[in-house]
Amino acid sequence: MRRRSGWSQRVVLGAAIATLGIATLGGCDPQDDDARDGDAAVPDARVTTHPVRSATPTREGLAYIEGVARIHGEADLADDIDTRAAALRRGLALPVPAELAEAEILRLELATRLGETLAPRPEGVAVALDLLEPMLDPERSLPLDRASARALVTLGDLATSAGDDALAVGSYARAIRVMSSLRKELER
Amino acid sequence: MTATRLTRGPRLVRALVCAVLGMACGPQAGSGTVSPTTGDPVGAGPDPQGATEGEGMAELSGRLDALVGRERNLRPAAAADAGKCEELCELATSICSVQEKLCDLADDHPDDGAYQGLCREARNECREAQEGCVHCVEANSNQTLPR
Repeated sequence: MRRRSGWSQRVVLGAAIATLGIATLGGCDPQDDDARDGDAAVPDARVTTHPVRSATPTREGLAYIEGVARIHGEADLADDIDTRAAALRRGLALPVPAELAEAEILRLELATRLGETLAPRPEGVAVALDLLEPMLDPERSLPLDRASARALVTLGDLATSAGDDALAVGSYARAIRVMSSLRKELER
Repeated sequence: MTATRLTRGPRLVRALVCAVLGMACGPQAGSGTVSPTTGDPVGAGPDPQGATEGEGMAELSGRLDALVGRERNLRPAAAADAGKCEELCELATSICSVQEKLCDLADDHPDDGAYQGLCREARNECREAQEGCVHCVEANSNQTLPR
């Protein structure tokens, strides 16, 4: 009985390890996630936007904007993906001054460019998705700006590469909705 | 002679306005009406020849001043509208390009209503955006072209 109990424990432990292993392996490949979700994945095309407020220029704000511009310059000059990605990561790590509404757009642009830089790498798509998905979550309000639309298109392209059709279609639809709102603003 | 002058009058005004606007007029618009100038300011050309010509020039000069003033008033608005049209047309191009990607993916899910609905919506947005671009350009060209 005691021996059986020991086996049971081992079986339970083994099963737990196997389950964990499968779950972990599955988590490494976004396509497997999709396969698990199967046809149940529905494109989420919800998008909420807010107007971009122009902040009163401050010394810190100006320094941040100049810092981001410098980072883009460094990325332009970078010869390889790693150097460019490192520069863009440094840009995303720059502390954002309070009350600088434009920073939201600048950060979206940095993340979009980083996502596009990483995409050609084999593991880059998953990393880029991890970076962009939370920033563009349908629950979050996005600045009504082309930067949001561009970021959503990049997210759609990354999702297409990852075989996640639902995320891709949802992102493209949201990008079109943002651009349509911009168009209507212009036509007013 | 009078008939020639009558037709030359509006041509001269149009050519001068075109020169002021910096627009690329066709060679016919100014042919035979405006002599090449030597950097003289507008309206400071040779004196009118004959009584009829003098009246014509004075009248033309007045009309030209009025048109130049009108053009000066229109220029900022026209430039703003041209910029707006450019933005609208760029947006239309982007919308339609994304629509193609979206609908390509939707084609892989022909029985999925959500995919098909989003593709339809995207097609409508693309069409509307293209129409908006065309209307803007048409309205802008009607507004800025001299009549």
